[in-house]
Amino acid sequence: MTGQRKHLIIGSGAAGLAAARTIRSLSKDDKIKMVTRENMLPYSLAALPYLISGKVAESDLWLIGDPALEELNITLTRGKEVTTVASQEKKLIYDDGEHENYDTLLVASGSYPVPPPIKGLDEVEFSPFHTLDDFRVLRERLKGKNKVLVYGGGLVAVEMAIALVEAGYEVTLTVRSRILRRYFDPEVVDMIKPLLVEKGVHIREGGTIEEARREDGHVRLEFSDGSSLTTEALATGTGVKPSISFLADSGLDINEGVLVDRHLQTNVADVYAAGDVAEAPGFFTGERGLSPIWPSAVRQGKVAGRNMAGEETEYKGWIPMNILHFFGHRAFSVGITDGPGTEVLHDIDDEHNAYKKLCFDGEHLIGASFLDVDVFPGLFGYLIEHRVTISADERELLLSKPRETSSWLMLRTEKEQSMSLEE
Amino acid sequence: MAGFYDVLQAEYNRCPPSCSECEAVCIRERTHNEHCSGIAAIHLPEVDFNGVLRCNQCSEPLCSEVCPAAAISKNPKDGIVRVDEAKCIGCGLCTLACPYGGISFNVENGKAFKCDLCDGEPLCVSSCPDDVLHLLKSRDVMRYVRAGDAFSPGVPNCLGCSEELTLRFTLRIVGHDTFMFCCPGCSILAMRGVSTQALCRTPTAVCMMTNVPSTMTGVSRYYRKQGKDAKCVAFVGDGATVDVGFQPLSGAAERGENLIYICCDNEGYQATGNQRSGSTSYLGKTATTPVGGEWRGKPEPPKYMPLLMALHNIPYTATATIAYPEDYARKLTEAMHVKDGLAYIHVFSPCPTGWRTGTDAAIDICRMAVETNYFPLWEARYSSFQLNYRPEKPKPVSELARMMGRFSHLKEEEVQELQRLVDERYHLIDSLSHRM
Repeated sequence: MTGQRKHLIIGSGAAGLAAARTIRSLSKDDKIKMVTRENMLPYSLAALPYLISGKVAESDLWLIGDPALEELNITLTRGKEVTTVASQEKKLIYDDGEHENYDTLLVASGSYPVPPPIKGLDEVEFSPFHTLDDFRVLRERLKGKNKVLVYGGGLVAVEMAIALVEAGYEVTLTVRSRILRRYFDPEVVDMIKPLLVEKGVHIREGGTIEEARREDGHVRLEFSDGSSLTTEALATGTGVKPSISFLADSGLDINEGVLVDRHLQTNVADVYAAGDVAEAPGFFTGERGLSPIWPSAVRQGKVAGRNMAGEETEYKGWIPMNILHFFGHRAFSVGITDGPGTEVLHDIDDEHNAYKKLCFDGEHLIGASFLDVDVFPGLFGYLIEHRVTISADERELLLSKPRETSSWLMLRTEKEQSMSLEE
Repeated sequence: MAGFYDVLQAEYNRCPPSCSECEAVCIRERTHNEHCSGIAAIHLPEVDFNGVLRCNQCSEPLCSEVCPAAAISKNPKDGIVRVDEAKCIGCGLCTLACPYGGISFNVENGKAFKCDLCDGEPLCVSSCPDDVLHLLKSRDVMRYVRAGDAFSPGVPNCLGCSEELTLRFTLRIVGHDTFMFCCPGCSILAMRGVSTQALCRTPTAVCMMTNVPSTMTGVSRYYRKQGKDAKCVAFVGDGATVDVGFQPLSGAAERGENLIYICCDNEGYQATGNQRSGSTSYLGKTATTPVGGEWRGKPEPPKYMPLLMALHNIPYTATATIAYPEDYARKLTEAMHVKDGLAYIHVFSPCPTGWRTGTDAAIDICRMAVETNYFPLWEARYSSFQLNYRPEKPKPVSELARMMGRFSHLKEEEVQELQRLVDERYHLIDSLSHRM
C-alpha cells in the first residue's frame, strides 16, 4: 500500500476516536477526518450521568482536546451532518450540500434514544438523556424542582436514577418490565433492588405509561393499570437504536445496525462500521448483533482502524459485559449468564448480601455474574476470551474462592503460553 | 522509538504459603485500605499455588483505552500507567477491561487504584522477604551501554578481531533510532551474543544469510509508513553479501530501498572455520583452498563487490577500514543522510584467526592494505567516483602478504601475479575517479 490515503470517520465517539488514533499510530501521512453533527469535542457518553451527581464537571468530559488532535494531525469537523453515503463513488454528501471523497470510510455514528410510545409526550417537557446537549437541557429543567421520574430500566437509566439521588432529587424509577433486565440475571437484580430502594430510589416495575399531560406546571402520567402519578420532571431512557437514517441509499447491508464481518468491514469494500451502530460478530456463536456498550465500541474502533490502515486484523467478537457501581456496591456480569445447555454454579451469601454465579459450557467458562464479592472482574473476561480449560474440581474452586482461583487460572495460562513460546 | 521501561517481575508460584508482605506494605504505605492494593498475594492451598497478581504496565493498556473519563494514561517517559484520581469517576470499567487483575478498586473513596511502581522504587520489591519480586531495571543496562560501549560485557569474538572493533565504532556513529540487521557470521556473535551474554544497545534483527536486504525492506517501509525516521543498518559479512545474499542486495539497490548496508569483509566464512568465499583473495589459504599437493590457495581472484554495488548507480558507495576512523566516520555520516536509496559501505576487516596473524596486527594490516593499494579507499555518489587516498609511493603487496600466515606459501612469481591484480584493480578505480 503506497501513497497517502484519506480516511473519513462519521462520528467522534468511543469507536470513532479509537479508530482515528489507531490509524494514526500505523500511518503518519494518511489523512484522517472525523465528522460529527454535534458542535463539540469528542466527549464521554458513559460519564454523562456523573455530570448530574456533580462527580464530574463539563470540562472533565472531553476525551481529547484540540491541541492533542492537532498533534495527531486528526481533523475534527464539528456541527456537520452526513446526509448520504454514496459508496459507489466513495463519497459523502453533507447537509450543507458539500461532498467529500474518501479512500476508506468508518461509520461510527452511534445510536439515538428512542422516545417511548406515550400519548401526549410531545405536549409535556420530557428529557431523553443520551447526548451532552440532552444533559444540559435536563440540568436546566431540573432547577428548582425536586421530584423526577426516570422512565426506563436499562443500565443508563439506573445510573441516571442513582446520580439524581446522589444529587438530592426524589427519584422514581419506572420500568415497563423489570430493571436491568438485559444486563444482570433476575436473582442478582432482586438483590440489587433493595440496595437502591434503601438509598432512596423508588422503583416501580411493570408500569407502562400510556399518557402524559401537563397539569399545574407538573407532568401527570397515566399508567396502563389505571393508576396515575404526578412528577415535576420526566426523564426518559427507554433504549437506543443505531443511527442509520442517512444510510438508506448507501448500498450497505443493514439489519438493525450496519452488518459487518470479522474485519468490521461492511458488504461494501473500504466501508467499515464500529460501535453502537455496528452489528458485528459475537464471540460465542459468531452471529452478528448489536453490542452498544463502551468497551465494545473501543475494541471495534481499534480493529476497524487497523484494517483501514491496511493491517489486516480479525475481531474476536463482542462479549456482553456490564458493571454497575452504586452507593458503595459493585455488580458486574460478563458473558452469557443465562440460557439453556449451560452448567450453572451459583452461591448466594445472604448474610453479606453477596452473589456469585458462574456459567460453563463443558470445561469452558462462558459467563460470570457477581455482586459485592471481592474479585477482579476482568479475570473472568480473560478466562472466557482465552477459552481456558477448567476441570470440574477447578470449577467448584472457582465458585468457592473466586478471587484466588481466577487469578491462579489466569497466571497458569499466561505461564503455559510463555513456556510454549520458549519451546 | 519506544523507550526501555522498568518491569516488575514476579516469579511464578514461588511465594511462601503464608506471606502477603507485598500486599501488606502497599496497603500500609499507599492505599490505607485493606481491600485495595496495587499488588495481590494469591494463596490457593487446594492447588498448592502461592503467587502474586500485579499490573504489567502494558504497552497498549486496555484500562486506559476503555476509561470513559480519560483518567488513565501511560507515561511515555517511564512507561508507568497511572490513574488520575481527580478525573476518575469510579465507574469500574477499567477493572472489567483489564484481563490481568491489574486494577484494584477502592470502595471507600470510590476510585480505581493501580500499581505505579511507587514511581520507580516499588516498596513491595524491597519488602519481599523471599526475592520473588524483582524490578527489572532495563534502563540501567541501557544506560551502561549508552554511556560506554555499544555492548554489555560478554562479546565472544576472537582476540584481536577487527570486526568487533569496527562494529563498536559503527554503533557509536549510527546512533539512536537505528535498527541493526545481522545474519549468521562473526558480527552476530557480538550483536546477539553467545548464550545471550552480550547485549547490543540497538535493536537487532537476526535474518538468514539470504534475506537480509529483503527483511530490511519490510521493516524500513513499515517505519516510513508510520512516520518514524528509523535507520535500517545491516552489518553482515562477505559470505552473506558477495555469495548467497547477493541477489536480494542487488534487488534492494535496484528498487532504491532506503537502507544502509555495511559489508564487513574478512574474506571468508570465518565464523564457521575459515572456508573460502567469493571475496577471498587470490592465492589466499583457507580450509577449503589449502596449500599442498597441487593446491596453492584460492586459484581465483575475488569479486570486487564495492564496484559491483556502485554500478547499480545507488546514491552512495564507499570502502573503508577501521585504521582510518575519520574517513570511516565521515562515510557513515554521509550514508545516514541518504534518504532516497541504498548506501553501501564495504569495510576491510582482517581476521587474526583465519588469516593467521598476530592478535595485535589488525590495524597495521588495515593500514598496509591501503598503503599497498590492496584495498583502495574510495567513494561513489551515484556514478561519480572519487579516490580518497592516493599513496605517493605505494608499498609493494609483498609487505602486506608477509604479515599473514595465509600468504606465507607464496613464491616470488605468485607475489608478482598478486601485485598485478592489485595494480589492475587500483588503476580501474583511479581511471573512474575524478582527479582531485
